[in-house]
Amino acid sequence: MKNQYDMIIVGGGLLGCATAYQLAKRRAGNILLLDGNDIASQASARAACLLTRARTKPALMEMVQETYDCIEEMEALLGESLGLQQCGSITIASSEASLREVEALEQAANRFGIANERIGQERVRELLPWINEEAVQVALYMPTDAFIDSALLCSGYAKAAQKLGVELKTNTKVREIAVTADGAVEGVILCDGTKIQAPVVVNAAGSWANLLMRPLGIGLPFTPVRSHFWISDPDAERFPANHPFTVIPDARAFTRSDVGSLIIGLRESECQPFDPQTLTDKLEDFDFRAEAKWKILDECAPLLKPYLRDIDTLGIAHYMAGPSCYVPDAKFIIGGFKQHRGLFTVTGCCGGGVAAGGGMGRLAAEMILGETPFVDPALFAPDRFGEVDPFTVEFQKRCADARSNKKGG
Amino acid sequence: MKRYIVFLKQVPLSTKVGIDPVTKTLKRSSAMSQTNPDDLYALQVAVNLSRQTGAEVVAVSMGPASAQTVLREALQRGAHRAILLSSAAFAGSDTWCTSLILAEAVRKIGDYDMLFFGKMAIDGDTAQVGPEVAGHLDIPQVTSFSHFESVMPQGVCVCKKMEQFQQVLQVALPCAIMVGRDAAELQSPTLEGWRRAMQQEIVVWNEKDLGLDPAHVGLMASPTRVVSTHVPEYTKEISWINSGEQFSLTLNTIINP
Repeated sequence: MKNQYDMIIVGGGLLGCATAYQLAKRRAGNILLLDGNDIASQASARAACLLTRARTKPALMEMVQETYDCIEEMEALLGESLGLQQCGSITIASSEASLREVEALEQAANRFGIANERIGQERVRELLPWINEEAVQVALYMPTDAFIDSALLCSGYAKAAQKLGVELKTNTKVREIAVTADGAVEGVILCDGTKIQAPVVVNAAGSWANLLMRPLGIGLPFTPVRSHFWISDPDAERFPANHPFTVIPDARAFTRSDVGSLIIGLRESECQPFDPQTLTDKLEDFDFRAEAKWKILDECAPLLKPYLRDIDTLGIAHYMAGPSCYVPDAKFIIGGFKQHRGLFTVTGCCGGGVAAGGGMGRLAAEMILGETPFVDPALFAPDRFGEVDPFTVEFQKRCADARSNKKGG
Repeated sequence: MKRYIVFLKQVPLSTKVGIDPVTKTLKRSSAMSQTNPDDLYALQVAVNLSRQTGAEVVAVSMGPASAQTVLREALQRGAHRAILLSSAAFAGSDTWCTSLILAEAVRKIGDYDMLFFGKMAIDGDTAQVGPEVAGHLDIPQVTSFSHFESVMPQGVCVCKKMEQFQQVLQVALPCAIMVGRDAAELQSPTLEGWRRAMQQEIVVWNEKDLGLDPAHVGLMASPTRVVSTHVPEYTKEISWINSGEQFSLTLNTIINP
């Protein structure tokens, strides 16, 4: 590791690695990526991994498409598969409200040229052997949707970036972002006191990003909010590998298959935010409140039961909780800061980091390099809420509400 | 009535557990916790057998109030009732004092056929408590349990796993069985089981309930003294072998030192 670079990226999760890849692709100079742990070892290893193409926000659809494009590019660059599973998706509506959501998705998919078709109950049953098809009023099938192991995708970005010249340094924790008296970025200081200079620093530290911004007087408008999923006992006949993942807004749920088990994601009515100050260095040491495993399942099971009749007696083999960085308007945070020249951030995944990470990294890279952005950056401006204090309970609640009130699964 | 008593311990989930600088014991209150893995296998063996015999399965844990979560899990996984042994007087007990307390609890529960323990706890790694309880109660014990060959009213035929072979033992009841992770396949818990467990009462007993003198249990009564603790350091020498010839030479040096 040298002591001077053109750019330093802090964070080796999906967004940091995707930004590194997009910058390296653009020959942005000598780039160092730092992570306090290993690449893809924290929130990026706890994601649901769905790559849903159709979105009601056009910019988001562009960003998801960019992720698909990145996967293809990186597979060619690395000469290896990143394990994209094109299993298709089915969005299920059983109420007037969710029907309107399905119609909006259908229109968005048609506008963007994404293959989609409404399918009947019989076809739903063929594609999803576990479902009680009688509960399904409308089903929108999108056969080109896919899922991907988020840790593999993150490692793919990192390896591709490394191949294009980015230096990766893991298990190296950044203590602070160094700025000059006039506020310009001059590098980072590691926990061991080492100073590494760079005129550009990208804060992609995920849940920890606000801890790095606090000494600079910047509050990023997000907080970590618990998201979680449950994994059933294996049953290869009911949950065949590669069957379509589902989004069931009426049940606040998504499902997807995984090695013969069913992954069930559920969203509680009041989502749980966490104060960034309470975070541990490694998520494996963080208490996501283990009692949620059964309490939340108990709360959500009645909504899911019409579709998955035996949810009460289904063996639950595993439970996984992780932090999603939620923003009050459920849009990402990407951009720079007027008061600190050279400082950028890419964060606030709002549960969409796997799907939109490639696009988030692209927008960040374009803004850092002064290129014309491929989507409107104003949507994601870090200062769009004015001054915020992400360390207050009130603001954290606003962020959690963004997840609680989320449309879709 | 047949009765199996299963002992479960709350242990730290994270490897980041503080150690009290004075007592050198684990600061359990600072750590996320889980049920000791081996104990879940002991419970599974007892629950599986009770489905054949109709025996009652009683789950017992000793610890602070938070250890109730271990007992809730035991109820969710098939135990019929649960008892928490909890008192400030029990704090800091070593394996000797712990086994005295557990043995008293067994006497109070009474009328039991078998006691089931996990082989060892992942925090202490002693594997002493189960055998000590059997000793206090003067009942036969089976370590390294593999499976039951048969279960009869007066005794059980038990297969015990030795290193290269198996030993089949005829054991009189009551007896104590120490269970490792290869003795059963854990059944996944269900939401229905959790709902049932949350409705059940957990009985709490302290030293008075057990008729124990506080001076005979807890840290001060424990003969074990932890003088210091440290994390063992492992070092190994690694050298790269770059050719077949070098490999052959290296191998020869190892075989014929």
